[in-house]
Amino acid sequence: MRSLAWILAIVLLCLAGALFYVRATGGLTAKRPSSNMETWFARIVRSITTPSAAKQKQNPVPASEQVIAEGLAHWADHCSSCHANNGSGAISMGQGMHPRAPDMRLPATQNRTDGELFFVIENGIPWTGMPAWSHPGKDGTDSWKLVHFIRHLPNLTFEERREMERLNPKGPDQIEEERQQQEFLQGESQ
Amino acid sequence: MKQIRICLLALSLAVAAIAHDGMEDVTGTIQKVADNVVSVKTTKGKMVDVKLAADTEYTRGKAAAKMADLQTGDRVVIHAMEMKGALTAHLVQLPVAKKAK
Repeated sequence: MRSLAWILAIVLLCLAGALFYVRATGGLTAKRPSSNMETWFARIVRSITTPSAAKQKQNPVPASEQVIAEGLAHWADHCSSCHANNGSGAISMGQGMHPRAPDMRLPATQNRTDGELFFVIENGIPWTGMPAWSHPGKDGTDSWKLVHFIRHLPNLTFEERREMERLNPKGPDQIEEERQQQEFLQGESQ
Repeated sequence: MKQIRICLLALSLAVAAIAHDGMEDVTGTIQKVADNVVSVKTTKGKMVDVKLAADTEYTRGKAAAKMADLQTGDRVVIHAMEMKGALTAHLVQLPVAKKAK
């Protein structure tokens, strides 16, 4: 009983220390990148909590150029604002999140099963910026197509990236900014 | 005491660098290209250095270009990522056709 009280006291002391540390280093902020320990712990928890049946699910949508093209268009419209067109996560939104949007071209993502990727798309990841994309009445076909596209991310071609830039959603300010940039490039403005 | 040391060690391991990251467009004229860094005088008259990374992409209109195509005096639009105060180019756009000098 006495040792339990000691453990509790130490835990509370650590918690208080952590709170003071956060306060002393600028408060709660998403600017701070995740530490390696946080990343490791989060991945372990996610792996343990993902149901085995979900991990073992096979992609019911056969891969084809058409499916990759549809996944590309979907990604450019729905995912690239956080994950970047090339899946690197190197974009303002993705880099402003805590944890940062990962580079999905790397083994940490590519080594996951199709079922795991589908599970993440459909269910999101709590305490991150990843929302759940499943909705009543949707059969998940679009998510399975995205899984094919995620597999394709490390091999994106130059033409595909340009096509995605064309498909990226843009507001009027950005359209105007791009117009001015093109005018400048062609020497039509200073 | 040992437990406290372990807790403090764990806490210190969780410490991470604070960084300000973000995307930035650099529009201007190339002043210098050296050591994988392009120096640009922006349309607002400010000098900005942008690092050219191995995965930086270059376009001339809709066509692909390369780092060697960057010439002093060229107009350029660079989409860059700011990380820890330094800019790294993701996409460098060059004019479709060079103006006659």
